[in-house]
Amino acid sequence: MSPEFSLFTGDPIGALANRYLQIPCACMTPNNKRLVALSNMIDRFQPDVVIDFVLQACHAYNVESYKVGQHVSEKHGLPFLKIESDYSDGDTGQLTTRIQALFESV
Amino acid sequence: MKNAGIDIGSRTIELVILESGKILNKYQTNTGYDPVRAASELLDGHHYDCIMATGYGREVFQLAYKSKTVTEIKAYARGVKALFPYAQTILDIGGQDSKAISLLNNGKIKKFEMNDRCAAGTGKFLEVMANALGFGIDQFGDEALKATKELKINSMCTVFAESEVTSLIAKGQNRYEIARGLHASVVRRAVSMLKRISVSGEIVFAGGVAKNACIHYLLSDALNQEIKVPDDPQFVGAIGAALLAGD
Repeated sequence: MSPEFSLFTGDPIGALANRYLQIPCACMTPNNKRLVALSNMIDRFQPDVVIDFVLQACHAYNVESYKVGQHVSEKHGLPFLKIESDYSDGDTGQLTTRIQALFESV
Repeated sequence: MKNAGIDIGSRTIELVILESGKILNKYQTNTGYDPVRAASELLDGHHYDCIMATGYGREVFQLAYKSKTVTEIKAYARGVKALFPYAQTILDIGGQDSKAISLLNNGKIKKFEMNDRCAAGTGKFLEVMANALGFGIDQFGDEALKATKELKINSMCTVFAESEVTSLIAKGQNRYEIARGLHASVVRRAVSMLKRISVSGEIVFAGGVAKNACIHYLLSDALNQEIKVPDDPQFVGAIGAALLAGD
């Protein structure tokens, strides 16, 4: 990742823009940084499973989830689950079943 | 040693009692508005050593009965593997959800897909549509098979599809052809879910909707292969839960 601080650039707006362009968001292309960042998190936290939570209507994350799933299962050999939901709790029953089934498969 | 499995679904509850791995009894009832009461009435007078609950009502049942629980996904995987040892892909369409599961050779779950909160393309969808067209749910599939062509239904949502059906009826369209179109829309949705887990090997279709002959026929046709359906497809989850209770 880039340095979090840029000092004395003489161009603070440009520095902000540069920083924003380096976030591993699915709206960037190519977005290999997201996979690198994910691998770093997996190495650091050693999880049993990886869940990709896609906020409803974020189509870029939704599409990228396929690539993320492949990366998680092929490179790290971990069970992967993609969930698409919003901030409401109308689907907690279905989400519980899915997440429990993911842990049962560990 | 008697092990029981109870599958508390959105529409029905199934109870299976196994003795040394063989089915001793099986019972079914409607879930209604009080799943624990319906389940306790079903269990009344039956003896078992260990019980495992599955289905959407498993957690509320667990509170009342201190039973073990398992997700429908694992229960179906276990039940199907016992009935069809070579199964690699499972499609389960129940009252208000649908699942596609792919299995590893040892019976463990490789990958699964499940519908979101929306009950489109499930038993509930077919029930509402059968009602709108004046067919009984038990004959709906057989009646739809009588049509020589299908009318395309574009809406997936139960509410929108019902309006679409009403407009087709108002245009004087044949209700058998509408019924066939509705079945085809359920199958399209199921096939796209199966493709996401990538279909391989022997496919087993279970859950209450597997009793529908038209869905079974259109599914085999779309996937171009034979689809196995157990004798009592709605009991597979309860059988799996009972087997897991003993494992």
